[in-house]
Amino acid sequence: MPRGYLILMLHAHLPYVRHPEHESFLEENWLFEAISETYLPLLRVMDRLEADGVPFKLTFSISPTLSGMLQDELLQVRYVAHLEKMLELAEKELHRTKNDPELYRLAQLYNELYTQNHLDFTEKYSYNILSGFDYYYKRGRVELLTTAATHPFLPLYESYPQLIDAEVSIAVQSHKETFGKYPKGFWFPEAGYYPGFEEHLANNGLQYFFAATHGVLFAYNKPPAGVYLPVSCPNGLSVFGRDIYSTNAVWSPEEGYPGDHTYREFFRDIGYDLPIDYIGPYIHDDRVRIPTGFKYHAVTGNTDDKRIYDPAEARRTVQKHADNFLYRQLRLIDRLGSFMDEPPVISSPFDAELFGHWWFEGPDWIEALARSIHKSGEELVMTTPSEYLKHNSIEKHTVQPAFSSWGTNGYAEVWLDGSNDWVYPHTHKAVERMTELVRRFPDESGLKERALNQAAREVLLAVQSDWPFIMRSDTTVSYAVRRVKEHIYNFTSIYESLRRGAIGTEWLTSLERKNNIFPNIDYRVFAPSSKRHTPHKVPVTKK
Amino acid sequence: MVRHRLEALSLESLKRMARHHDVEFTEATPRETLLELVFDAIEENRLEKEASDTNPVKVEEKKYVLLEGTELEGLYDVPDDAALPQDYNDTRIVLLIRDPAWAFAYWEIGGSTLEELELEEEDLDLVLRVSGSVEPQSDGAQQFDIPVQPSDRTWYINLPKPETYYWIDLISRGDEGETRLAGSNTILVPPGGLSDEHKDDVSASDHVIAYSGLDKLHVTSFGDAVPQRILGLMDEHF
Repeated sequence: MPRGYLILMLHAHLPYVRHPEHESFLEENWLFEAISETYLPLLRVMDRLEADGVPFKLTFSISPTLSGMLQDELLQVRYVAHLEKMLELAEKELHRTKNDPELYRLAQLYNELYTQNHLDFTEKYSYNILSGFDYYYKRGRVELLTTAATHPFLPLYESYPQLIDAEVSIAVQSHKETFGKYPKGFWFPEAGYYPGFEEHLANNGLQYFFAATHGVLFAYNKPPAGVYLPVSCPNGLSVFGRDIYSTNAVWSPEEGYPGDHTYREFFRDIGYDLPIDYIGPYIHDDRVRIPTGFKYHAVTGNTDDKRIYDPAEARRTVQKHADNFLYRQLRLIDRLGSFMDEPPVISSPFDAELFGHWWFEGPDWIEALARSIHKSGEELVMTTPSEYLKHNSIEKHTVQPAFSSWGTNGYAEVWLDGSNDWVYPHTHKAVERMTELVRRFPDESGLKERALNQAAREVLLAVQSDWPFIMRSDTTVSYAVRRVKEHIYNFTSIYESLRRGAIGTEWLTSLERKNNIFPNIDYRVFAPSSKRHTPHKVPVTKK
Repeated sequence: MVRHRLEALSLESLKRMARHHDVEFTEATPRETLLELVFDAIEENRLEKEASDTNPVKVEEKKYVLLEGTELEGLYDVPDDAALPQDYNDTRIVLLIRDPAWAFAYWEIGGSTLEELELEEEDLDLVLRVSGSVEPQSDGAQQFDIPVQPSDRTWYINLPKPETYYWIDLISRGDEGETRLAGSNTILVPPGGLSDEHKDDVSASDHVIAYSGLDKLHVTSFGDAVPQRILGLMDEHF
């Protein structure tokens, strides 16, 4: 029997950003950067591990908004155009740096990265990289979870069970349509959980979820094994509590690995550094400086005088940090072993985009960790939640988890403060009105049904957690504000049109083409709930 | 980088930035002084966020970094090409739980309600009546009132007790007594601390929990979130 288990969970999510009305659109770069720096490099990590017979196990949650974008033909074609532009820039960089061996070596690195990305995306995956994740899903190397359909911060919609039901059932159905089977696990957007949500999960056939550390530790009754064994909700769903030590080791700015001085610096980029007449064609509108992904400096330290990045040195640090992570987990397991009857389970969830996009060497670190764990024998075993639950028939303690998130100060303040609280009166009203529409038009077909389906899409796009998050973080605020206003405006226009009985076919068609998420949506998913919602802490029978 | 970009701004743009960051200035404030004040405000905001935000939030912000000097966001107006409804002509109040210590309420008073009251909006005498109880919507709830102005539409409410259900009534006060205009949904305040069932004995479970990173949580809590007995074990273990 192993001494302990490690569940490495990567939550991959981006808001639904797709603008066919523009030739190109700046915020679509969020997706392109994530494909180039995170998703494709992670797929290559898994390819290398499999080729070498390393028995890795990884867990991913892929949000339905992200999977929708990854399957969208317009965005796929635009990504290839983006890659071709990056390859053109790489060519120019090879020429510009040819007399500087240090920089030239890095220009080569980026040329190879984008060449490989182009090859993988167009030929290996035929424009749909989800097939890469699906390959490992079917082989049991990867477990894929789902999350709420459009990723709202769910505790702020607790009083709207019709939205919650819609978010969960659409997510489960979308997962089935994409991967051919139903998901077993659920990731709460921003780890934002409230008591009773598990009923919605159980109704949709889900079996477990992850929770914030204090969602489990500060539960209504004490979890005897802390976060180091899954617990059971009163309705029987399993809960994996986030281990804070292992996650802090990776992403704490003070003590985390990515801050090592040898790693690549995130903020220095030739998009900011090179003359505008040279870099113009590769930034926004030829004049607004944006990151290009070509970054030549190392973290170095708290100074503006950054050293040139040395990939060989960074690779050595990656191995050191992978070994250190393994050592720390084994030491923790040793300590816990004196007080636990079962081998501890360390659940480490992260934002997937941390690996590669922010921490350039992150995917290599995962690869090095999987190899180190494999070499060390059976002491620490990588597993997935479903695999663990299947092979370990431990008697789980029943615990009612508490309201919690992984946001600042542990609850809702990131998504509910003076910068973004104006959103909720409008999104809540839109949900109420959507339910009213279902009540009034329960069995429509033709143009009316199309309008009702589009109304449902607009409500779902308005409630994405990314918009209030961006408003608070003061980055690209105007875009987030515009998105909320646009979707509420679109929804309200459809609502008023249906009341008047006059729907503009041309306008509706253009809206369907633009905001085309969930093509098979059925507006009746917003059917009214049979009873008024009251928050509850379910009585727990103590064991 | 931020200072460099501020220096390139026109005086009018600097003033806009100053207003966005709540910097106090007058028309007589020299440009250089204004620039320093705006720079200081941006830096203070950045440092404050860096100090308080959790690691997941800091990492997530990196996903949305697109423009150089995003701190200058306040420079641009949001085009109002998709206006939101001013109101929904509805009388309602909604309560949202924010953390163990705070909730947020928003409300609206519709035209028909004002007609029934035979009052203009500015003549209203309003209070939020906050009720709290260990059972949802029970009769024996403890209550307190928060007077609000007729122009108010939102309020952040300090919650006195954990593990308590709260709800709010929007009350209009007049010469002939009180009128309940709307009642909110009910929220449940989380425990905000470790449920401590064994007050004296140190159990194996206490040791495990002492290893669970309680000192790294940085969450809003009620009172002593962690019993002294477990704090002692944490000192012993590390």
